[in-house]
Amino acid sequence: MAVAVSSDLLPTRVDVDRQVQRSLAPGGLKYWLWVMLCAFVTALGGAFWTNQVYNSFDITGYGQPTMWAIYITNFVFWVGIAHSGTLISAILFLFRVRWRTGIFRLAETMTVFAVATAGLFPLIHLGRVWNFYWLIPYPNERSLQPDFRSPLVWDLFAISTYLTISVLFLFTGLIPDVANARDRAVGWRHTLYSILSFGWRGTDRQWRHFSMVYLLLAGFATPLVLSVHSVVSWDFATTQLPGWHSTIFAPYFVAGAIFSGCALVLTLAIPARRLMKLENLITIWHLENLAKIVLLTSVVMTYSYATESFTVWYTQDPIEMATFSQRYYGPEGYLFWIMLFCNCAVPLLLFAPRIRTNTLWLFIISIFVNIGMWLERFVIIAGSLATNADPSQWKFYGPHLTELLITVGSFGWFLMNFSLFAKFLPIVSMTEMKEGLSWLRHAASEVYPYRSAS
Amino acid sequence: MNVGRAQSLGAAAINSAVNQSPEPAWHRLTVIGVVLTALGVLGVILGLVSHEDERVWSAYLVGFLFFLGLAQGGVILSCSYYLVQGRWMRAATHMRVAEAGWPFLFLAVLLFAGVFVGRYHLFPWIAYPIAKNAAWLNVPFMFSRDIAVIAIMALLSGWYVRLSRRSDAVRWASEPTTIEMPPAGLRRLAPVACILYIYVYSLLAADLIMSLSPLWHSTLFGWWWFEMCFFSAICGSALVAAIFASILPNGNAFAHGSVRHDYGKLVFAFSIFWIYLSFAQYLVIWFGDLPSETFFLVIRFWHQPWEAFSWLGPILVWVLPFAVLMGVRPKKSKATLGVVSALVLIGIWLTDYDMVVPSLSSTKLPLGWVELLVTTGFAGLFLLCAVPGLASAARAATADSDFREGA
Repeated sequence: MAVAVSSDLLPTRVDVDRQVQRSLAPGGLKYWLWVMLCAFVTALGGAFWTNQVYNSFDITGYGQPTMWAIYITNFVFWVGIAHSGTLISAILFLFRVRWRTGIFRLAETMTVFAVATAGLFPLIHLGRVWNFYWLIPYPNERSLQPDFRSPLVWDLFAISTYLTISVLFLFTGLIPDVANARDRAVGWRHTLYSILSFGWRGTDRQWRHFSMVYLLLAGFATPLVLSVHSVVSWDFATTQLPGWHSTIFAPYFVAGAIFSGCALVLTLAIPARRLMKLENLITIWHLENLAKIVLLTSVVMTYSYATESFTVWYTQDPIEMATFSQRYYGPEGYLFWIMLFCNCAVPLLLFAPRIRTNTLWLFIISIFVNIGMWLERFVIIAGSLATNADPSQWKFYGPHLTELLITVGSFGWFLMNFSLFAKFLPIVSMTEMKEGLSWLRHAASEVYPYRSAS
Repeated sequence: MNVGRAQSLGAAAINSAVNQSPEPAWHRLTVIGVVLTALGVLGVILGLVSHEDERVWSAYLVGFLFFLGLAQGGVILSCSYYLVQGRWMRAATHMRVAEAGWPFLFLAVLLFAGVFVGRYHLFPWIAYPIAKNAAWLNVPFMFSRDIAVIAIMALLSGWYVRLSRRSDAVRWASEPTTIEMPPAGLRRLAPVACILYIYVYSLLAADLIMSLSPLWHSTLFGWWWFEMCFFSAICGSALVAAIFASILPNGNAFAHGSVRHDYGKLVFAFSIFWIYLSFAQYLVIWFGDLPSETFFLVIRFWHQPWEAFSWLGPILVWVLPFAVLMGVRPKKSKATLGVVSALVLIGIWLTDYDMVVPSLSSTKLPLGWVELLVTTGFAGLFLLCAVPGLASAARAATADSDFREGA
């Protein structure tokens, strides 16, 4: 179907290459100041972790009964963030979704660094971090094995598999683009890109193999989206703790993961497209469709909260009711209501097309969602432990400076790695953008009514 | 053969006879529907006369739940086609087929009266009220809220189907090469219908299935059940697609292999999602080992007479489609897709039966002429409701000019 196109909105194949290559130009002062700020925050978090290892958990707010709190919250948060990257890059690839092309590389990058960040927290949480290898089934003279019936052991295998597949998927997809960058680069960049492109020449045979491998990796990655966060949810649901023991946890956590992850993709993509001048590659069309996924998963989260609350009331179990009463109206009840506002009320704005296609609103809403989802994990984990089945043990958790700065440090670590990747490797896939230019043409045409939104 | 080429009259007549199979006789399906319904009514009467009241009403409830889920799931399936704006679907082969059963939703409002009539044989909390649940589980409140929500969903579905059959919606579904959004009315109504569906059908699962064992609960049960209803609609659509590919005149849209391939992928994927939700419930209940939760599964999966029967559901609903439909060729094969879809539908009915009847009869497995006749009656009613929609889908598929080539 012929469509009228606003030519100033429509990139050509040459434009795609040029704009993405331009984003790889050496960073200016502002960029390096930003990276150094992130590095400083990371170092601050690392310093406090070192202090914690040296001085033990006495310097934290941890204490019975809340022995899982902010570190496990961060772990679940970051693993959840990672899932939407795989959803966008692998699952939407298998579904042949057109709007995926502009943002999937950014989302995949987010996944890899989010999983890497998440993997730090079981170590931070261990205290005696040097004993971490006890989780691995290695041969030993006493024939000791980890408890394979424990979801905690499943976590080790699930997350290490997820990290492996995510890294493979990201770097496989990068090969043609890095080869493209190699052909224009000089100096050490040329050397780096030559190594990462694995001798790619763009022959028919290489493209055939590439397509097959990419399809297979997408197929491997797809079940991981469901399985990994389901396993994480079973860390909690397989216990008998009121507030944790609930059959809905697996799909509820997966939906929450996609919710928070897609929101963080928006948080990253909106400034990235502005700063790297990629507005006509990462268009409003891409962002609007991502916002619809955020809205859908918000609806699922609202349903999950409603179902949990209803079931507690339906059973009239006094212990469950006491736990949930504390969750809603206890000393930390305000966190629950903030969470509800951020996860259920704020995303309702996305029903309005004008909000869905306004980048400032999308950015603000994405921040609210990320806050809400972090609070959700905290309310479930620390809140339920604090009000367990025995009221004589109840004690609410309050984080100390150590936990707070390690948490902030993890954000610095993530943003530092993401920023470095975005400056040295192509954050938008040149290959797939050029393949999908006809759809970008439609997004820039009169067919798409919000094409001029910003 | 190129029909545009000049031919002798004789050759043209022969070709016409060879290449065009007759249109299905829709009136015969209507007659079959009437006969099946009559058998169902006979089954109910004979069952009540034979003092098999509990069997009659439990079979009635299972039939009601299964076909209500199939009809409503179909409408929601059509809504989801517009919501995801998938350009692989077409009005004739996807939307019309999914929506075909929508009149049954209005009939269900009337059929719910049967659940009310049989309530003393179904809901133990009527004869033995549970004080702590009395505010929720009492006859006036439960039946009035359930009939209200079924009626609301029926009205909403009727409104949606009317919008879906308008020319602008049909035109949108026939143009796969743009990113143009569906018509505004559908864009607004489809999300509302889907959101209401998940709440309403979770409520119905809690009231009409979970409350049969009022001391048991599972937070995932509503989600699991409405997903199974949605899955039954996918299988029903796939079965219709496989049958229509065989019986409609040559050149119909269903003859295109990509249609069956898409349905096959949906059946495959949603069977995996179903077993995922089933396992998520099972694992948490097994691990927690709380007697208030485990008894529900123990009756069904560890004690006779239900032990062997209960495994039929997972085998037919997951093992079969997962094993058979993994490759491309089985998905595209009319026979394979049709048979697998039919068996999955039977498996879903068996699963509904397994959720309802053991709660009422834990030591006996009542499965005989009463259940067969009552279910047949529901099938007949559903067929009567679906025939006009299926005929419309068949005519649209035959006239769909962009899908002429068979595969």
